[in-house]
Amino acid sequence: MKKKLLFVLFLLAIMVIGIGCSATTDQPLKDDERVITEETGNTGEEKKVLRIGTPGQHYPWNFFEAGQLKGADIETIQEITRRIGYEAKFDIMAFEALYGSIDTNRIDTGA
Amino acid sequence: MEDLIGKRFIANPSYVAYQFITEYIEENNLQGQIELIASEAEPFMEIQLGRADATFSSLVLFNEKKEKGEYDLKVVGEAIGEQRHAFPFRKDVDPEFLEQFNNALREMKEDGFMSDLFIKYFDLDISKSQM
Repeated sequence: MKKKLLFVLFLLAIMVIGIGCSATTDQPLKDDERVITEETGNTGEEKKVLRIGTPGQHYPWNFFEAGQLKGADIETIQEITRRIGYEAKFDIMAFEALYGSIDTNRIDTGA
Repeated sequence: MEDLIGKRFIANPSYVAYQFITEYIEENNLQGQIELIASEAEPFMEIQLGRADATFSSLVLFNEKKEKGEYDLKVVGEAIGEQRHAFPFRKDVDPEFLEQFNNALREMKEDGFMSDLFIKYFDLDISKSQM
């Protein structure tokens, strides 16, 4: 029963995050709107940003460990963005929302 | 696959594994020679309990599932299929960016980054085909 309740709360949490994200536009994001951003270097100039949607709950592709987003997909895209000089910005969203969010230009890709 | 003759194969009818084994049985006229158990139960558990002999499993997920469930099972035979994995982009994505992205990913396959990453997570280098 406790487990079930936790699961429901978890689903609610996902929904809340989803609603929060839906308010974002194509305007440049303020720092506090970024779910997770990563510095990929220290060149002093504004980095281009790659927006990546991920559920963060599909071990071992994308998951959270001690509050850190990890996984094979996550580390692949982190390394790609590092190599091409982009900043990786992760948005946590349900898997089902990924394609729609790419289509409507809220994110660039999914992991 | 021929080793399945005389064995009980378990699969969930709503999964692709069930479709695959059904077609295999039909194509090779093995009706009655491989016993197909259609079940929504966890196939690893059913095999562990002796209620079935074999099922299909993702190579990538096998070890984790085995350890988590403490199953005394092993992978036998050869890989029967593989899935490709990609990052999706909109069709109007900047072609110059896409080329940079793909080049970086290609380099990561070539310089061993992807191999190391997959071995770390899966104990298996899936940057190379297992077929």
